[in-house]
Amino acid sequence: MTALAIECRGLAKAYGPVRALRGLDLTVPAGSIFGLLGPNGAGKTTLLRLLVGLRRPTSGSALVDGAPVSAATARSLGYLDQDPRFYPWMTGLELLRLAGALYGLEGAALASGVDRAVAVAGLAEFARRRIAGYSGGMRQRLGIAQAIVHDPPILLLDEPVSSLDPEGRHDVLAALAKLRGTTTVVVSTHILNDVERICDRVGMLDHGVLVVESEKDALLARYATASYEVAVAGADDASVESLAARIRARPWVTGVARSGALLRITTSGAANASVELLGLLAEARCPVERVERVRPSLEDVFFALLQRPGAAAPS
Amino acid sequence: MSTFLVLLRKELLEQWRTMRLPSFLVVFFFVGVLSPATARYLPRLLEALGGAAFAAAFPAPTIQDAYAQLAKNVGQLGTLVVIVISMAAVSSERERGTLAFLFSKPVARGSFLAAKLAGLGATLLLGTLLAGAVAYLYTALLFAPPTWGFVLLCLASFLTLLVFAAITLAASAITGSAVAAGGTGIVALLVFGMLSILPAVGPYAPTGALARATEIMSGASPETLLGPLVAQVGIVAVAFAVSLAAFSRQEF
Repeated sequence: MTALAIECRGLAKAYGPVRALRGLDLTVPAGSIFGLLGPNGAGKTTLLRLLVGLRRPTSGSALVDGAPVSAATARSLGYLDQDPRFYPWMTGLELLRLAGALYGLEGAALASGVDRAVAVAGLAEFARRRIAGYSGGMRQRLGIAQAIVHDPPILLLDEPVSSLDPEGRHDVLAALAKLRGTTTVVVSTHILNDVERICDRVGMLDHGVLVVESEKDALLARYATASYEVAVAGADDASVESLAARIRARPWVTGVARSGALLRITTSGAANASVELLGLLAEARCPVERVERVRPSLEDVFFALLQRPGAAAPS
Repeated sequence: MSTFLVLLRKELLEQWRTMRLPSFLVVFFFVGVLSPATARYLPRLLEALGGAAFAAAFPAPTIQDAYAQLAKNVGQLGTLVVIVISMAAVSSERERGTLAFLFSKPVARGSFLAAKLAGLGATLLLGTLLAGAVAYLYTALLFAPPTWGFVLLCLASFLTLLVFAAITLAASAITGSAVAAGGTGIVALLVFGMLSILPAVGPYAPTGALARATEIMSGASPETLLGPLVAQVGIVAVAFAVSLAAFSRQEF
């Protein structure tokens, strides 16, 4: 295994006039859990499909474990499609045996690979059933199992927990977190909390361009702004709106987002805010239930970087 | 086990589970039964319906009629059934999204298409063997035991069916549409049917090769069948090569 599990240089993909990826430069260190974020149409699925060899780039190059993408590099990869589809006439176990055999597993290695994949994906209960009767969540678990059946050094997972119930999501994320250090995992998802929970590196794509790529903690620190939450108690709508307007008018406030009686305030610095915010609230004579300084979330960074209206939209 | 063998096993299991193989065998069982039976009893049936005047128009049935009927049934009903079971071979995988499952693994496009063709070929071989065995038995019962040339007739039948399977499979891979693939198979059937009546190229067309095989049963030299059989193998090879060239460029 090389130091870089994945390396893209000037990777571009166009579908007719639509440019899905525009000269992407991206590296994923070996052993990391890499969260690939971005809105719909950002190019996440296209990138993963290029890496696995299902699509060919218009220009640029992609290396997997130091080698150009080919049938040989597919052996090092486990891939879960965004909408995994399998043969409805097979049972889950038969499909896993097929996947393992296609990766070259035989005999005892195939049997143990299938057993391990069934256990990790939580498939035991329905592995002997025909896939035709599987729910979306069951298919997703089967998709995860077929991706890990050969214990690959690199896993590419496109929305791996989108169809799972909370318990399933927790189990799968915990299983992925355990792979840290031994397997490189690239997870494409819309669920920012999941990325925040398990990923150590993050890349954000927008319109086929890599907006940022960094260690998650460094990213959060870089975009950390002093944010506060104020929960107003028992006030009418007009009073809350009036309070939000007063806060917005302060020069040290960069954004106020309101959700019912909860205000989320982002500021240019904690010094002024910590001194003036309580005074502002007292001045407004607004009954307050809670005032709290909050840690910025990946969601805040996502919205800030992609300049989308979000938790703390600019005032 | 090689990727090809893994995929071939999957193809055979799929044909069994989705009832394509059993259905094909049932159809070919009846082809085997009905070909000699039709040759033997159709004139009598028409005679019973049309009276003595009708009877004079039909000469007494011979064993050659049984062979000709078998070749006709394979060339018409058999090829239509083959087109039906081949038309969705690749396009259904594309529509279902299972090609992404396969090609995200170290699977070469050539192995995939070769396994598809071999899977269809195995089904056709089983069907031809069944129809041949049943036709042999009924021909022996109703006329006389066929000579060894009957094996050549079965071989020509199998290769004729394989030609239409290969052409329809190629169209399924190239167009990604079962309807377009089925249409291509039908057009090929019509075109080859027209070519088979031309003296120069006729014997090299699939149905022409079948006709040549029945002539051997009437005493023609078996060597005359070699060229037509090689031509069928060539058509299959060309169809496979064209489908591989086009399919290798596709993305999923």
